[in-house]
Amino acid sequence: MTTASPSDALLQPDELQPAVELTAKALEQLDLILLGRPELHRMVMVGVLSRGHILLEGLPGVGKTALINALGEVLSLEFNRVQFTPDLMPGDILGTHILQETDAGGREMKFEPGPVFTNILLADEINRASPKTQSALLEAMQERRVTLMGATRELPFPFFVLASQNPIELEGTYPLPEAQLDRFLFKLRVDAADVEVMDQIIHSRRRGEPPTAQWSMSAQQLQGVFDVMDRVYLPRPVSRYIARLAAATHPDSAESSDLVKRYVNYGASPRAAIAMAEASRAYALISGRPTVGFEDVQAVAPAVLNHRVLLNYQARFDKVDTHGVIADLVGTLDEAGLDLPADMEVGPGDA
Amino acid sequence: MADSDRQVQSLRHRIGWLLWLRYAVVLVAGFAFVYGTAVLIARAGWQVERQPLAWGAAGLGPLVVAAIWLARRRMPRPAVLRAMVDHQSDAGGLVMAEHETELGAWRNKIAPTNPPTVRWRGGPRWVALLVGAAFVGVAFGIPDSVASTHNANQLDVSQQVADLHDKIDTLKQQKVIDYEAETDLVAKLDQIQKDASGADPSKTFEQLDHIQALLEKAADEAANDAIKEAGQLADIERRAEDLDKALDGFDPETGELRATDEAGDPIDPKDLADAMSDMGKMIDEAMKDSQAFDKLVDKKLADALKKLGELDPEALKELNELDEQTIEKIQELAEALEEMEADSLAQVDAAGNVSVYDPDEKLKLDAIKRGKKPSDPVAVRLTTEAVFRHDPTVMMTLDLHAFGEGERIIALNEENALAVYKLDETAKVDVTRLGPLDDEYVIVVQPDGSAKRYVYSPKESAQCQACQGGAPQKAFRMAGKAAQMSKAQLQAMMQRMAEQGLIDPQQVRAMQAASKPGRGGVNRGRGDAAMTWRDPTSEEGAAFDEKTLPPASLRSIKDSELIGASVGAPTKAEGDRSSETGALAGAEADGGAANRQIVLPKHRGSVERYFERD
Repeated sequence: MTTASPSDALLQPDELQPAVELTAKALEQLDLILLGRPELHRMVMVGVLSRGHILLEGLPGVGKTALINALGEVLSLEFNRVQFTPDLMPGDILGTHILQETDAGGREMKFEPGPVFTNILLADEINRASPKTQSALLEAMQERRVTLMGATRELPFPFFVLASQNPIELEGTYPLPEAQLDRFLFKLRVDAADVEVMDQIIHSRRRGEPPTAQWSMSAQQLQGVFDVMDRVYLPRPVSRYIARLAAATHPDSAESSDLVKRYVNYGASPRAAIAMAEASRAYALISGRPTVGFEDVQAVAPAVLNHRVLLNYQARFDKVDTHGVIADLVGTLDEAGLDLPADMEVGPGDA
Repeated sequence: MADSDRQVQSLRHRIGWLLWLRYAVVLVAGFAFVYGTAVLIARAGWQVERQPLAWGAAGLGPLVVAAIWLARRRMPRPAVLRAMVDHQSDAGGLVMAEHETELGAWRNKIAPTNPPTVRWRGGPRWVALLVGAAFVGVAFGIPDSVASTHNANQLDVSQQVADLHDKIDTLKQQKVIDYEAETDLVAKLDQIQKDASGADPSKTFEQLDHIQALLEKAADEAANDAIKEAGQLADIERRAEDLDKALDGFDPETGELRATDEAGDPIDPKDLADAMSDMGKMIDEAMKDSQAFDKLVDKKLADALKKLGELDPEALKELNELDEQTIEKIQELAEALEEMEADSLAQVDAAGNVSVYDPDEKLKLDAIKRGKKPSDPVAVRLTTEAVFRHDPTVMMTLDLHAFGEGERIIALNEENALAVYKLDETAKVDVTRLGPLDDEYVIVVQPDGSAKRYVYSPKESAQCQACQGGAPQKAFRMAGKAAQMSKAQLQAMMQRMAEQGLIDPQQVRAMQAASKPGRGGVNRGRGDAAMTWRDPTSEEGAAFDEKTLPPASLRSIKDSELIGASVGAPTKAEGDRSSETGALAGAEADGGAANRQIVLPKHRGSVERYFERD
């Protein structure tokens, strides 16, 4: 057994429990505001705790914007919404310099911050903006700062981009470049609510207006949760599993599944592996555990990988999507990497 | 040690054991197939014995070691097994973290779980191992004759060749054949064995029969010579003994013979003189035939005996010329002859090992050697066989049980019925002195082992009380000619004899079994065997002989038109008529194939000049 330094010491129950309770409360509020989406809320919370950006994909009217509004409300974070349109310019997001007359009668360029200077930026229908405007978000998303006319300005902490895009009505849209897609921690699919949920919404909410949050997490509490999450322990076999999983998305990998070999053109980047590790930590925290297990990785892997794996045309012909390929890969890849002969297997112990 | 550590260790042991077992089974199964194949190849290609091949099983030892090495290479690391235990027990990473960091209060929250189970689906490999083991068993178990493919058509005549080798050795030891003949025969035998092919077994067996016949001929000649020599020696020996006995009472002073014959009467001096003369002649004759005898006997003894035999019987006093030394020599001669007779019989004995009657020859010769000693019926029977070995069918006409007091012989009468005839005894002879047989002589071996030669006597036969019709003389000749009977005739006769209890019915059955059609190849045995048809001759590889056609024929073919192909010979079209007048009278197309040109006389000169051109 290796001796851990105090900073690396495993979170003890009394240290972990407050953070778990806070996240549980936040999730509870989200579940109250938006009905019938506990798993989506859980993954969004994982993304927030991981300090990653989330791309929500779904049809209009399924609650994407409402979810982001509720999240900002619960987390007591400032959020701005930008409706992306084809004529939206980078300056409309990042901000611009305006020539103003000073009190002394002179003129100077004054920076007017754009909507990106906030905690949560809701980029609604992000794929409708031009690539130039989409690219304006690259630095903000990756480095959480904005550079204009040689001046670099830090964005407030925390900063999340929660983008949405409509999978239909592709006319007049600009698919997100791979570089930008890779900067999103998750790509979550928001499906339509089922009958029971819709019935409940119609019955309990006038004009569908969600209730306001009854509890919100302060910035200090959120920072505390971030600190705890940073100390969630990632064992070496799990980190190796994450690395093997990311590597196995490449068709030329020794451990890739048959579906990957057949349908994948390009696999996930190292950034995906890092994102998977962070998201697994957050998932473990939400689950009330101080260590990351294989099941945490498997829970977040589809959301992390599905927008980072590029399928070939054969997959399109065979109507195979990334979710199916990732699910198959997660199901077939041995977690521990036992590498036993094919005719040997290790199963659970007898009950 | 933590509970998880124990689980990891236990899991590691089980995986290690199963990995070793798996590799051992795979390697041993593979080894079994390779080993079995090697055994088959070694046995088929090089006729290697089973015992040295069994040492190949020692290869299992290295395989077990190799299985250990492979299992150790494939053995998962403890960290991996710990991860497996963590995952199987839904510990959420705590088991893994336990080995990497201090768990603190979380240690108590790790729920005890059952260790993971390890399973090996080794059914197909076990089956492969069993099949491989069975294959090895089959490779070892199949008989050599099946396993040997050294020469697919090899004919195994090793036993026959070994027997012939033994016979050659016997003849060589008895100096029946010399070194050169022995070398030549051995070389021939080896060549026959080497060339023995199942494709033509009759050829091989013919060659072996030829060698066998050569050996038998040499052995028979040697045996005959030895028997003849033994007979001569026995005669001389008897004469020498009689002479010795007669001379034992001889008084040189008075010239009187005090010895008496078996009846107690004084020996007639004339008989004594004849005996001496005969013995002298016999010694002369024996010295010509036998080198050994020539060395043994002093020529002077024979001369002296002949001289004594020529004396006037009344002048027996002249016998005093016969000195004591001559009498002693006669005594010594009798003793030496006994030894020589024994040697000759030993040579016959050895030659008998080469005879065609191998299995029984020993007994036959034993019976001969026993001579006048009482013998059992089997020995008598065998002695009879030995006497008649040149014509076994004659033996069939003699039944020892029917001989009674040794005065009768069984033969066939005119109606092919069995008859018993009484014969006239002419001489009491030793079996070793018998000459060639003919119709006039019959040999009867009595139950006491002695043999007698009889000459047919019509007078005596007519008085035979047991005769059963027919002319005895004719029937007797028929019996003598039984050797010339066909197998079917002989078989019928044996059947009748068996029905009357004169021979063993088993002999009839044995002969019938041996007379089934198809036995004995193409030149022996019955010819009415059923014909068996095998597959038709393959056309594969058959081709027409190519023949270059003359240019004129080629042109004809080039200008011809195929109107059809006939599988039969061309036929002459109806309506063709030959010219009935002129030089072409009688000329016609013959069967469509011949190209007969009739050249008119006025054109012959042109044709001859054409073919005379260069």
